[in-house]
Formats: sequence, structure tokens, C-alpha cells
Amino acid sequence: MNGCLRERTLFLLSEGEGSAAERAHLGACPRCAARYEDMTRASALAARVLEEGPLPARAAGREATLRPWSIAAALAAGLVLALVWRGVPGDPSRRPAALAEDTSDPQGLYLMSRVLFAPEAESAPAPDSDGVYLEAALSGESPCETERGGWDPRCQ
Amino acid sequence: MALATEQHRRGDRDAAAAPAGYDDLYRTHRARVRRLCRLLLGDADEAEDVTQEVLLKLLERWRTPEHPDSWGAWLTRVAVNACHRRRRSLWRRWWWSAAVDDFREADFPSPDATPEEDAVSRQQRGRLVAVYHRLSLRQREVFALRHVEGWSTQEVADLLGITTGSVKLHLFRANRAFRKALGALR
Repeated sequence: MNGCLRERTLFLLSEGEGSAAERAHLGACPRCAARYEDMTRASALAARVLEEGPLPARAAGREATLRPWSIAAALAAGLVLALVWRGVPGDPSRRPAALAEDTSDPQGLYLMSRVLFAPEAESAPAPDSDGVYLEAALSGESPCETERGGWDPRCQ
Repeated sequence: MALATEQHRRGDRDAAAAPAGYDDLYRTHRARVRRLCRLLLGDADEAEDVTQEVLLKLLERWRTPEHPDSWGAWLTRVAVNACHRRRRSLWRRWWWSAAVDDFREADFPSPDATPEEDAVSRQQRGRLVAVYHRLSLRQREVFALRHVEGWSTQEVADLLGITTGSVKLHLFRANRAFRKALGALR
């Protein structure tokens, strides 16, 4: 075998793999043997330290620090949200759908406010409301029948 | 001695195959499970929580009529899975940075060493732990299971659901990082 073993080959040898020729080279080449020794020593030492050493509670405890990029990302996200929420002045199409619908339908808002804040008189049953027909039916009348013998469609 | 160490590392898997009381299992495996959780989570408090969770599962399993062939292997699997779940729930890991550089060298005393050797060793230990915490999560898992817990490459691959080739690659990268920290790689 010509030349020294590659790093990866040395690692595979440390894992119990590799060819007989590679093993033979490892046995004969002091440079590769030293590299191999460094490789196995590093893992063994790290394992020993991790096994024995009291891994301290995260050194800074709960005093972890915010990453600068995360602050920037949060600010950017906040800015985008604010822009989306407010929309571009004078351009309702850029606003969120629900908000645009509300503001572009003043008739709907008017009807809604009428229902919610109607005065007492307005909230009373209208003459053609179900209450009137129910009352008439209880008193034995037939308000749903028209004079011509038809059926009042409002009763359906 | 080497055999005893290997058995200890492998979580006394063969010894645990014999019927044992819960107290025995608890005493035998508690420290190992806690250490593994600390290595996988990198946070002693979180690790303590997960260890308690794992030991509770041990009690529940011990009360059932069906016991695993090896309590050590079973506990390792449960601990690794519990750590996975805990890490997933720790969204703050994404948000907060780990202050791994702050590990104090004094936290790693080396017994049986001259003051000079001890000083060097402490420095190396501090560096190795810092490097370990800078490895990717997968590299940490693989290294801890393979070299600290003493599992074979195939067993680690099976446990983590990855190929043996991936295990070797993670080990190789971890080894490279450790060598760099020790100054063996330039």
C-alpha cells in the first residue's frame, strides 16, 4: 500500500472495519499509528469526561440570552402584522378580508345597529309577524286564509 | 476490570435480564438514565424531570406481567424517546441560545493527577464538554449511545431509526470535533 491512510479509513479501522492491507499498513506506519491513536484517544477521553464529569446545570442557568437575529425576526414579524392589520390608507383591497367586508358594507352595519340598538317600539312585533297569526289562530280565526280562499304565503 | 466497565456502560443489560425488584432496578439504573438524559438534553433540570418520567414508566412496566428481556436496554430506549419528546416541546431551544461556553473548567476535577496534569486535564475536559454541546443533536445522541452507553453501531442505528452508515458519519464528525478541541487536528 502506497501512502498513508485517509482519515476516514482510520476511523473505519477504529470501528473494527477496513481491509487486511489497511490494518497491515497501520501496524507498519508510525505516522498512521499516531494518527489512529489520536483518533481513538479523542473519543475515549470525551466519553470518559461525559461519563464522569458532572455536567453542570446549564452554566448560565436560566439566564440564556436572546439571539440578536431572533429579536430582529420578531420585530420584522410585528411590523408585517401591523401593516397587514392596518392596511394601506385609502386602499381597502389591501386590508384583511373580514375588515374590508365590514367597512365596505355600511348598509349591513346600519341594519346590525338597528337590530341591536332598536328602541322599544321598533322591537315590538310587526303586524305581519308570527305572533299576530298565532294569536288569531288561538282565538279560532284563520288569518292565513285570504279572502279569495287562497293561502297567505306569509304563513308558510 | 475492562469487562466490568463495559457491563456498567451497557447498563448491566445482562444482569438486568434476571428478575429484579423495582428498588434494585431503580438503584441500578437511575444514575445512568439521569446521565444519559443530561447528555441528550444538555440541561440538568430538564434531565431530572425526564429521569423521573422514565422511572415512573419503569414502575408502571414493572407492575405489568410482561417484563422486557433487558431492563437496561428498555430503559435506554424509553429515555431516548422521552428526551426526543422533551426536545420537541422545548420550542425555546430554537429561540434561546445555549451558553455552552460558560462551562467552568473547575466543574471537571480529575482525580489521581498531579497539579500540572490536573490543570491540563481540566482545560481539556472543559473544552470537550463545550464541544460536545456544540455538536448537532443527532451527533450528541449517537456519540452518547455509542461511546458512553456502550451500544454497538448497529444497536444505535436500530434505536434511532437510521442506517449504520449515518451512525458512523455522525461518530466521525463528532470525533473530528473532539480531536480539534484537543489540538490533535490542525
